[in-house]
Amino acid sequence: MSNKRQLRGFRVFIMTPTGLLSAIGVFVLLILAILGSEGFGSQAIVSDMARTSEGPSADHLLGTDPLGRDIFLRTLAATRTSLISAFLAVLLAVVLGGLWGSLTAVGPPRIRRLGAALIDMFMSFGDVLLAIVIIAIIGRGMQGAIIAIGVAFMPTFARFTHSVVSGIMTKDYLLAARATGLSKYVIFRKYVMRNSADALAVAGFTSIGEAVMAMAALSFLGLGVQSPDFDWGQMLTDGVDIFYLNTWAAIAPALVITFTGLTVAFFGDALARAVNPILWSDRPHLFGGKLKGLLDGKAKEGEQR
Amino acid sequence: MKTVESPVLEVRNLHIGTAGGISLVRNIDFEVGRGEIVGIVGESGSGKSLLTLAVSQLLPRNVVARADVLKFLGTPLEPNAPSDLTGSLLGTDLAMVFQDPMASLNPARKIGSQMVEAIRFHKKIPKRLAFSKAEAALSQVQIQDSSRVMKQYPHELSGGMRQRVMIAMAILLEPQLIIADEPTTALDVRVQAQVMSLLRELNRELKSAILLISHDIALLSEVCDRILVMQQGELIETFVISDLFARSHEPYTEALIGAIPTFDSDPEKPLGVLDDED
Repeated sequence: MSNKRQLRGFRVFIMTPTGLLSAIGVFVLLILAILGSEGFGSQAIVSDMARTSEGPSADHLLGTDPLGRDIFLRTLAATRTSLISAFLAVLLAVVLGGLWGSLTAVGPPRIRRLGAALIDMFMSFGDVLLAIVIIAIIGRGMQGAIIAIGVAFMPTFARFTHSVVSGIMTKDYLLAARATGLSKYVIFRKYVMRNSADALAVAGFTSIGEAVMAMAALSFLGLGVQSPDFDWGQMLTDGVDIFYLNTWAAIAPALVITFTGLTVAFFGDALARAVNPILWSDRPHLFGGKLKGLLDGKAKEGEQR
Repeated sequence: MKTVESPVLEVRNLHIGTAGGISLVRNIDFEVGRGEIVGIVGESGSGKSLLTLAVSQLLPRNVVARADVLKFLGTPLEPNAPSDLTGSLLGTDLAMVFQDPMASLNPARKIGSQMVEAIRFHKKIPKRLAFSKAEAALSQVQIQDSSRVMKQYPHELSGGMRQRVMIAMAILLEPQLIIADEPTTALDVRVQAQVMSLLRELNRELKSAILLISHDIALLSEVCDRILVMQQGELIETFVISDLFARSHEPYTEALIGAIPTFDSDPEKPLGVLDDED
């Protein structure tokens, strides 16, 4: 029964063009991340001062950077750092923001109001601005950037969880659970959290793309990943410096950032569609059956006149 | 009124009102004896559900209840501040069946694990034993394929099946009192009859008392020993079921009885309706 349903959901996921393409894209990104920074040979990380800031050639597909490292291989090699930092930042945001939002939503009226006001307050800062302030407090570097983006994304997830949990709080099954005499902790964990988990997971996945871009933005400002570590944002900064010598040094990381952002966002959307039967495409639409017949009839009527 | 020896539930002079001082339910006196089925009937807004929520301590935050006596199995209940003691009474000796079976099961978890959770929370028994108990309870409510239902999610079951699961959950811990708040309102007539006869049978087998809430006096008259009539927050009449047609009642009760269609009713004439002036 439920297997058939899951299979159905999986098919819906795969059958849509964006679902299929983004799944392939995410697969490619995963492989690149697994190969990691050392998996693409020394050309990606060891500098070659004889050939700095060259344009594309047979040796270097997209040219080299100011220290003579291969742009193409280096861009691929940066995947792991970029993805892992984005993933950790989102994980932080989902866990802390989820707790913040759900604890606020299940609390007594005063806590609920206070928590909601706090969420509103934090949301009024922009993501990146909040992240920069936090980096100013805890210091720059990869770890700092991850925490900063995690905290900056937190209010969004807190708001999201708050509204999901508020909906669950009015459900009869919660009353039934209380009538069974279950403890508050059990009800929170098994009734509230369980029922909001799928929405939160999908929302989290969708925002990994945003986190990749936010990480890149911080690195671009020189606040994120510091050398010798490197990610796409840092490569983009370095690439812009030699834009007139080798255009690809800036374009390659920029393209990959865009690609990752789009792919992961589409993948998240497809995932959301697959877990929610209401969004499956076999629902009534305005352009089939009766209405279409009606329109055809009208058209014929018009022709006869 | 019939006096009952050591009642399961004893309520004397119960008042329920909002925190702002608006009176919702007044002067309620009744008791439920062991193994008795008591029905509470009344129109929407007459305070039936508030009464049950006060007994099961699930009143909303902004509603306050006070009573001279509110005893369950001899233990005084605190309707506004559930204590640990009453927390353990809930779910073991007092069980509830809710109105909408579609909404009262946790949609994210399988039937089996939900049922087992309730037992294991109150009694520390091995998981396997709890599972077999849950399965037995399911077959007791006439679910044929109980081992399969245990592995299903609530959305895979029909409304009648879900209400049976709710009843099975209620009887799992062999409670002294089952409160059923309009358990059949969301179900069609045939399933209604099944659920009602099921409650009656369980009452006979398990000797649990049942407090049955409904706006349908015909439905109640089929299963109840006694019926309490509520109107606008007050208990206006109590009668034993054999008296339903035997003696005259309050005008409101007469009107409720008059609204039951029978095979002799004249199809041309409209059924009796309630006059608000009563």
